[in-house]
Amino acid sequence: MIAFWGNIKKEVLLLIRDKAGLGFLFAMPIVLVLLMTMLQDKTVKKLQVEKMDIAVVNLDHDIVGNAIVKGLSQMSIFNVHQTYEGDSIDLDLAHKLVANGAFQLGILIPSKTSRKTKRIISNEMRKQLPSPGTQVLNDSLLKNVNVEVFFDPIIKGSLRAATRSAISQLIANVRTIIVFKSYTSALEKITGKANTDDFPLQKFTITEAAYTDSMAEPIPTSTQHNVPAWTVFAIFFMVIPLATQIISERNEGSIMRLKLSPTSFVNPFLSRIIVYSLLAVMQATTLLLIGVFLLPLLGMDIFDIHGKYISFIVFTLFIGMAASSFGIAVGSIAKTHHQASIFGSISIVLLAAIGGLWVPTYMMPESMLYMAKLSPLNWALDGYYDIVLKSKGIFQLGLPIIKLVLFFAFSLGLAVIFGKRKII
Amino acid sequence: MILAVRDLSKTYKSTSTKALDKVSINIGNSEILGLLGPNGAGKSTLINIIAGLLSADEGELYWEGDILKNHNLLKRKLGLVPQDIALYPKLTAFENLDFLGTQYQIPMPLRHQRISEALKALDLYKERNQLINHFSGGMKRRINLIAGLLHQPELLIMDEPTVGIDVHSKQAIQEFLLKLNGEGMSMLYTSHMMEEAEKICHQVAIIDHGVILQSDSPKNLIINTSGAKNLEDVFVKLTGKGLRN
Repeated sequence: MIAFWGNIKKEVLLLIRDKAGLGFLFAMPIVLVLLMTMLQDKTVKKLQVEKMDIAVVNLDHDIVGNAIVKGLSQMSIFNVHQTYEGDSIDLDLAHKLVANGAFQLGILIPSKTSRKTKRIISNEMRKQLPSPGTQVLNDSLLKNVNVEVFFDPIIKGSLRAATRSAISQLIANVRTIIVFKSYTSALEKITGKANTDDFPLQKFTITEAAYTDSMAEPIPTSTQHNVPAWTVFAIFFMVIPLATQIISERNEGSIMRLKLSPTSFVNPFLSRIIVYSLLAVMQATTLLLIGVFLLPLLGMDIFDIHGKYISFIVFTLFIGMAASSFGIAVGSIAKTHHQASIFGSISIVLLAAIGGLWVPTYMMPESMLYMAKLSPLNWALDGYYDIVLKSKGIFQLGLPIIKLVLFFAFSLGLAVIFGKRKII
Repeated sequence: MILAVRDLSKTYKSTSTKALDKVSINIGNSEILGLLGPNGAGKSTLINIIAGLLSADEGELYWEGDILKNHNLLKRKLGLVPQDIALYPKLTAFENLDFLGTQYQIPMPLRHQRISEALKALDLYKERNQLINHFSGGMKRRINLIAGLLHQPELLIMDEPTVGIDVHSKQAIQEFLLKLNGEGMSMLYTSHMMEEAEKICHQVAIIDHGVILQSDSPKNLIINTSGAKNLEDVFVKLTGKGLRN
């Protein structure tokens, strides 16, 4: 154990003495997270189903108008506004707000809409249940009920259709209630029996269920993508300082001293993996804090991992193990610092690009998705997605963990084979 | 006899160069053997085989009379001071030595005691907390030497430990080595400096083209070589005047 702790202490000292390298491993992902999250925030939000801001001018203030306002407010896709900056919205203001893009949609419920609706229904009833002293009006004398809907022209056709359909449904519902009440009232007069029941609208429901297969992953927000993506990128970037240090150790002859000592050949590997995996946890924690505290201050979504902090940290340790073993392999194979820097940086950037770190995989063509699955950085990102998007715990991250452990073993195998050859 | 090398041969496959050809040497208990030879003579190959860093094609090593079958058994008994400064430039002198001490499982109090004693003996105690990359060449050589003997090996192998350093550092190292030898440590020592070898070695083996040309005490070598006034004359007579790369 003396030799093991000696190696751990040495690795920590070498790491903290390389202030520039260490600073880079923290500063680079912080800058990238802030920059990329801000850059992608608007674009990603437009791709996602958002709430639409609508201005409602309710001049009716009666059963139909109120039912439409209430119904729209209860729908998950609308944010209903009847006031703007403290002023109630009239028709002119609503037109202006939609025209300048402050709202995507406006609705005018004209005055007397309820009265007109009731008159039409009453007239129909009189036709069917004539009674002495009541007069049936000609249809041409009754005014039409019209709700006006006006759109920002950039709104997609499907959204317009959905809105029209929603309003029609709300009008139909309120009409049904009025018809029901009118007939109930007429029947009371005929039968002399009071009925206080409302029409059971709630009996007519539509149930909704999402069916997904493995290819249909939830789409992350800009924050949900960028924080884990650049965390993975930063962790794997440790390959460069790690490989460089191994080459220095070999070129300066220190590794020869270790070979001559009675300590196990595993010790230097193990201590590096432990120290650099802990470094990975520190990097991930820093970026997690940025996502939780700083991004919301900048107007972006908070990075929420649903309290899965232990899973986040344990999974990061697996990523750290994979990244550090890759760094050790690069350091063992490369002959010079130059080779290690070039190979290390290019391989990480390429693996990040095909792994969906730069551009999320849901934006990639089908053919690239298969390429993405070959990148260890993608396996790491998938694991983080599982925590962030699906609230999975560490025991449910089997596949990404198995892939990372296999990559770790493969890299370490390469490091041992090449490392032993290059002692002298 | 602490170490005996018998008929050791080694050919590098990549260059087909025969680096050693049936080399045999003996190192007695508490003896300093100087291995002298021009560049490319086979000194480093021989040292690396004895240290266990290279394997020989033929020949045997004997440790205290027994044939050596497992080199791992020698790791605590051998110390190596390589020609290159094999230290971590971004660690201090103390941190370097402390780390290397841990690799020999030396408990902390004893390790720190040995480090302090060695640093004081080589006049580096005050600089113990300075980074190695701030040290002069002579200071680095002294730390490099201490790093090889913290575990108190029975045989210390040194590959040109005083090359490229100032007179003061050289003298300090020589005195330190003689003190250790006086305490019973055996040494195998390679050098280009004949005067130094003459001064500190009990036995000298002159090697060239992978073959031991002569082996005896410096005094006997000088006496037995006609016209030789010192070890340098013996060396030139045996290895020739041709330049080596």
